[in-house]
Amino acid sequence: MLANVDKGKFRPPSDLIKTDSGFLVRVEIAAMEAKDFKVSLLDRRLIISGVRHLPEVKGSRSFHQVEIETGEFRVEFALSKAVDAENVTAAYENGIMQVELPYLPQRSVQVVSSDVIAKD
Amino acid sequence: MTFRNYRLRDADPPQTKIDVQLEDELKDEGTVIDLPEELPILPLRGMVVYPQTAIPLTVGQERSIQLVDDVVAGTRMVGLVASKDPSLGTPGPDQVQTVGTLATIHRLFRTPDGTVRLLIQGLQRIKIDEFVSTSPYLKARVTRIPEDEVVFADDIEMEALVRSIVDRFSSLAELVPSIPQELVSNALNVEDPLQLVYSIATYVRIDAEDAQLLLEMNNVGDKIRHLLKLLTKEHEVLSLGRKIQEDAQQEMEKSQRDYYLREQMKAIRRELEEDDDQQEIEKFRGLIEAANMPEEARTEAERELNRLSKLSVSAAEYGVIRTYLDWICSMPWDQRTEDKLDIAHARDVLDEDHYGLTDVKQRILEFLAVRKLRAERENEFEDRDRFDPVRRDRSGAILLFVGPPGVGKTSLGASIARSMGRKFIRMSLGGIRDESEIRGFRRTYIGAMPGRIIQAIRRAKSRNPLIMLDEIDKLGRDFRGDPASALLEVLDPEQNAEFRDHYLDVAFDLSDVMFITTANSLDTIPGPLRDRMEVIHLSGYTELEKRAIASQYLVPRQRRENGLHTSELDFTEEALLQIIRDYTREAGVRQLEREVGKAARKVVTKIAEQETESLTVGREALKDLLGKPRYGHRSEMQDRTDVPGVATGLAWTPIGGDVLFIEATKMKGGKGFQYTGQLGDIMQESAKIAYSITRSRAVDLQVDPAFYDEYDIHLHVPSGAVPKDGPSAGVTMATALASLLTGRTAKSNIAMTGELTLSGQILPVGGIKDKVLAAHRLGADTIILPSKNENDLDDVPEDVRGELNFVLVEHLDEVLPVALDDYQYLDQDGRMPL
Repeated sequence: MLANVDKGKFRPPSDLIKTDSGFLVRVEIAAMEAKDFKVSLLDRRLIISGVRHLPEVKGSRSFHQVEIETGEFRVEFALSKAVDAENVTAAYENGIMQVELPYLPQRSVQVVSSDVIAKD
Repeated sequence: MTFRNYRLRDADPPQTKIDVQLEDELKDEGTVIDLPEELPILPLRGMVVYPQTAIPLTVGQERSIQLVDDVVAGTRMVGLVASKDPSLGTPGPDQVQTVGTLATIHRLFRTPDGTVRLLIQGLQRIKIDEFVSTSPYLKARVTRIPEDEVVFADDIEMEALVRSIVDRFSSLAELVPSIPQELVSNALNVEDPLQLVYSIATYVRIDAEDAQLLLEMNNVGDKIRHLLKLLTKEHEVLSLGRKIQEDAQQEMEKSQRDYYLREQMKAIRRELEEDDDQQEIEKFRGLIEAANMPEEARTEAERELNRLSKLSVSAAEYGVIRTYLDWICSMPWDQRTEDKLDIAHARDVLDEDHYGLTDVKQRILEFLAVRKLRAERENEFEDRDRFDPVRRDRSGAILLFVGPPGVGKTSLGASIARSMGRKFIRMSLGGIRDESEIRGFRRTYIGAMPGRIIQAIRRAKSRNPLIMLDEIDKLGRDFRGDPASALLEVLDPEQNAEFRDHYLDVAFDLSDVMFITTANSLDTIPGPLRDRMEVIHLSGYTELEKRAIASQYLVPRQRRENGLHTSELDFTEEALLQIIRDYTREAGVRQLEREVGKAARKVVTKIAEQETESLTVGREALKDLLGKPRYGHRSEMQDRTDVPGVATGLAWTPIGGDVLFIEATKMKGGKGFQYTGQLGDIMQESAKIAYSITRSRAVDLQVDPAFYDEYDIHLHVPSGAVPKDGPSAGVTMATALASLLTGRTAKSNIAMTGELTLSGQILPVGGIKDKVLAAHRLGADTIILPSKNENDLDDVPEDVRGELNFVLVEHLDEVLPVALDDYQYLDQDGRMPL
């Protein structure tokens, strides 16, 4: 778990699911607003990042247990198929950030045979 | 207890749509972290946290906990710096390093005892520029220190460094159980050399100074090289440590295995109901305690016991030590018998066991009397008489009984022991020729054991027994050693208080032991040994004594041995005397006892065959019971001396006195004089003197002087096979020669002894008592003795003396008239026979 901690940014729990039509990515992170996410896509790399701020505890306090991470977070996914970048959608609802990435339609390539054997 | 349920407040429906940015290039935007204006600084004791590594941390100090609380509530950023001196409790600004690590707190958990456990991750190197506050905790303004750029792919050296540090770390990880295997594989997967260095450094024990140095180095290559050096050193230390541990463990395992097996063996032994060795050791400990040894012996015994307790039962040494302890513990160190010093009782016992031997008994009683008096007056003399600081008081005594066989030397010893109430141990020294037999073998030899003296003492179970050393004149002696010399120590009352047996190797006090030795002859006892003993001579018995011994001791004993009642067998006095005279010829009484026994057995047979019910053996029955008389009493001397040239002499032998018939004969020849009969040098000279003296007196003897030119003379002393020596036959030889020359036979009832000088003087000789007894035994009634031996006649028992005539002479001239018959023995032609 800790090996994933990367340069001070924490990594919220996340799912990557392959469906018939495309990839479905879910990130569990609470106390966010949609505008605070940054979702970036480059070819087959998807990076979800952002900053989480928890409300400050005022006055005299002592922490007895801290497990909720704050500050910058970052999740990166490597996608095994090309996706249709134009039709990627993302939404945040009930503490779950969800990204849908439909596959790029398959293109067929005609292979033309050629004589590659050198003749003496 | 139940949980209370809360209803959550509805909020405005949030905006859910997120824009997805499509990028042409992804930047590693995480490297830039906003530094707070004032960073709380947490000093670490003796450790360094590196960037890019996560590490658990425990804080307990009041100010540190407050710092953690504030940090967690805020940015969660903290500066970690090592304190210069790990022993400081609360280091101030000057006491911490200026280069540290910016870190973020991921997790926090407060334990019930109030300390706080953190999971912290290092982010970047920072340098403290200025402390802005020290209370309640340190705060400082910091700047980040960027690491040098690393271009990994292009740098072959870097690749080599990375590979070698990875290798080194994996081999190190094998030695350190606290580094889990997955950490190793994680570390190997790290591509960034910097992160690799930091994560390896986190898991390996590194001195705070080296760790700080590693952090402060700017170049990754330098960092790797430095870390490699540290790892190599650590590896060496660990391998050595592991080797030491393994050795120790092997040792442990071996001793545990031994212990386990030994326990099993004990259990088996218990099943077999054998003593186990621990019991054995305890047993010896008890024995040593009980034996009451002197200090030296005790120390030695305890040392050996200590060695024994460390050995396994199967060790070869074990048996050796065990035997030794057996010996040393069973010696009677403090056990002794109380001497019965009742003179009257002793006299009774001695008289009861032995007939006659008045002188010897007297000497023994004197010895006892002295002991008794000394014991009574011991306290009186304590100071006054102990004026000799060198020589110790002699409490033991060493007597030497010399006499012919069968006179009762050995039984006298037993009798003394009985009269004194001491334990009696008898051992024969005859044929012992190894010193070790006396003084033991060194313990280093296999099968070593103590010498006979120590063995005898142990057998006696008393430190003051009476030890009888029989046949001391028959000690052997060869290249293996000289037992007589070993006996010197044993038999010297001045030395034997610290007798040291080779086997025991501790001193044992023999000074309370009473030694009695016996011998047939003094001649073969080495001088120094003889010198240490008080010699008591036991001569042969007279006929009368023998008869008394026979009727009082031998006949009753033979009756007992053959199962006869007193009424069934008896001997008349005459019969006993006849047995003594005609069937035995000895100084002692062994033969006599055998003859009595023989008669007794015949009688038993007769009774068994119911020929008779009881028998009193008289003279007439002897021939039937014992056969023909073996020794023609009185007749032998007559038979032998009825021709001229034979005279009866007397000899002393270790087995008592004896008579010698010295023969001379003449023959035509003219070559001179010869003699035979195994004569020793002295006796040969005696023969020559006798020859010369008779020749010089040829005229007096009425012998033709021309005789010697024509005739040879031969002198012989039977028995030819027995070596003989000594001067005492001189007078007999001269008499034999005179008889031959004159043709006058020697009187058959006369025996003689004496040394002859060339002038005809007769000098005294030894062994008179034995010789006289022998002469009497063989039926002589007149004995010619040197007059200077007159005093010795006092030793001869009264009854024998009364039956004999003694002719005391000083010169040969006095002898011949007495010894030779008056008539000449002539043949039919009136000539002396050849």
